[in-house]
Amino acid sequence: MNPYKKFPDKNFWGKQVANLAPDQINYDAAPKFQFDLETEKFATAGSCFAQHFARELVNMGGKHHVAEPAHPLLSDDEKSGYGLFSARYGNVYTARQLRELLEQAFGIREPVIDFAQDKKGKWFDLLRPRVSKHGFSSYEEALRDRLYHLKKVKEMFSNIDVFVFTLGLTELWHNTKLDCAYPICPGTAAGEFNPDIHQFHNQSFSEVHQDLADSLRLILENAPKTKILLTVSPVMLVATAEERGALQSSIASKSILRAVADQCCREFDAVDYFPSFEIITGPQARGRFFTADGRDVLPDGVNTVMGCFFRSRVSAGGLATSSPTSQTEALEENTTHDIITEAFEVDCDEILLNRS
Amino acid sequence: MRVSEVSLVGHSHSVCMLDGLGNWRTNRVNVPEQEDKRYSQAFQGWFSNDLADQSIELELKRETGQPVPVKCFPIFEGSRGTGLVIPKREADNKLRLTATPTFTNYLREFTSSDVIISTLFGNEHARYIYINDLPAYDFIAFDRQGEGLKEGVQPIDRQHILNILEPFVIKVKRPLQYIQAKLPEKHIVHLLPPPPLKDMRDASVSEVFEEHFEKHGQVDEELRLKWYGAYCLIVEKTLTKSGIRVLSSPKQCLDQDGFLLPKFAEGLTHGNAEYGKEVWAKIDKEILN
Repeated sequence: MNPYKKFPDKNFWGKQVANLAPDQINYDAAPKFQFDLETEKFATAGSCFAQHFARELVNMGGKHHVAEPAHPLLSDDEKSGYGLFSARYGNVYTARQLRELLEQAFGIREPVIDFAQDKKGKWFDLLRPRVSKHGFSSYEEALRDRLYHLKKVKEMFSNIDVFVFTLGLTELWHNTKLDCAYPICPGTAAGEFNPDIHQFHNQSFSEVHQDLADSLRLILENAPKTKILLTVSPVMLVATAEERGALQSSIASKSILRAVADQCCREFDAVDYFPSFEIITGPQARGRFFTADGRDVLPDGVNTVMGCFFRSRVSAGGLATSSPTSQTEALEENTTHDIITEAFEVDCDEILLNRS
Repeated sequence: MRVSEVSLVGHSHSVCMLDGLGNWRTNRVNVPEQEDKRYSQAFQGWFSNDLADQSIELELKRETGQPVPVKCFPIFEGSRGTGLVIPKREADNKLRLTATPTFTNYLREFTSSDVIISTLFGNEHARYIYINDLPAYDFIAFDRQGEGLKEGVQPIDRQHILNILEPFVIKVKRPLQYIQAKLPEKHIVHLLPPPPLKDMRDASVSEVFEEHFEKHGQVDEELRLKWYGAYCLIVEKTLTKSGIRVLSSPKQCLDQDGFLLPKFAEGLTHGNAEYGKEVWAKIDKEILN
């Protein structure tokens, strides 16, 4: 007699994974909590992969709370940066970015103002360089928009039940003067790279853990009833600033993020992990969910992830019964075809590294 | 400038200009039996008449000198379409403007005038000035830098405001450019519409806005003036660049903030005969002298 004799099937690779079709595997075997799509409001943030979650959630009739929707005065062409996530923060790739964003939103630190002007005189917020497609007309307008954005981030946590955060990267560019982390290296999407103040940093496990744990504490202090769901983006790095190369950096980065997520789930009752990373990258998938270049995720992978999410995380009877579009709060109505097509078209700052 | 004749062409902002010259309705405008209660007396018939492209001949009595004949071409909303030129993109990707038959007729009539005064369009932005049907927002006034922006509401970049107003400005610009091209020797002057009232309760009638006000309420005075200021500034910049003179509302018709004084208002969005007289006095002083 030993403890393994009493373990359920899910605890054994041969029973949980081997010889099962991908859609038959119980990937998410021990969820801490489930969700009620009828009543619970979700907010999303993180890397590009988080955008898939928001879209599919809406498609299934879930409530994706958009705290900072595009104003009706804006034409479709002017709505860049809106509706991708719950607020107009753009991609929040790192736990450091999340912590700094929350600290500013909750008033723990002064808003970080780091704007750059392009040759046409337009202003860009380097902490979310792609939220305004054509830039702001003046420094004052960029400033007002940033302050309004931070106010909306704070409000967001008063209006949601679930916060889904997708960890994307450990590598970041840091402003030594302003002490802030960028989503992407200055000079790629906007601004100019200045080697005197823009420094590369690759976060260790303890640094990511510190930043994420601080972020979670901040959220739970301000919105104690929030359930937090962590995921790790399975999308590999576009480029690394480390010497070792993109493949090693990607795996190192994802491994750290996955380990930190695990650690935080142990430390916080209100925090759980959803294994989208494992579904896509695990050996059982045999790489079938990756695009030909092995970096990005195919729509089939997204569908498998979200199918698993709805099977294991949506409580019985909690599936939304009304039409999906009636549940949307800001995302536009899409057909299933559109959603699948658009699954490829997530707005990802990091891809700009390829162009630089 | 020695002026022997002036032409006036425009939409509903022509009414105060016509009233400022005298009684122009006699035998020309059929006032319908049933009063349109949305509008004041001055506008009865304006939206249902058609002068069949005929002009109304009046006279401007000047401060000094001989009166000047004024040939008026009011574009009645009831007439055959309010647009004057039809833009068409040609194969070479150039935009060609074609005049409507009404406008072609006006152009023929303009030839005897030295000055052409325009009150074309001017109310296209009014829904933004008056109807409070949008989530709270604010934008920086086009002539100021950041001051007066409301805290906590969504700031709208001025570029977006510009994008909204631009098509309205183009509507004004195209027919005037067409006149310029066809009659290059004429002096063209465009009159900006009067500003909004500070207190909308001072308007005798709410025109087409009444039901919207009941449903959505009214835009606050600061934002109202910002929209008006933005529209006027863009019209002025655009037309001045094309060599068209732009005249703003006479200062004596405005309060210290720039709102229209109630005694010069005809309903919610228009000036009255007294306003028209003040504008003619300004034209006399700044253009004809």
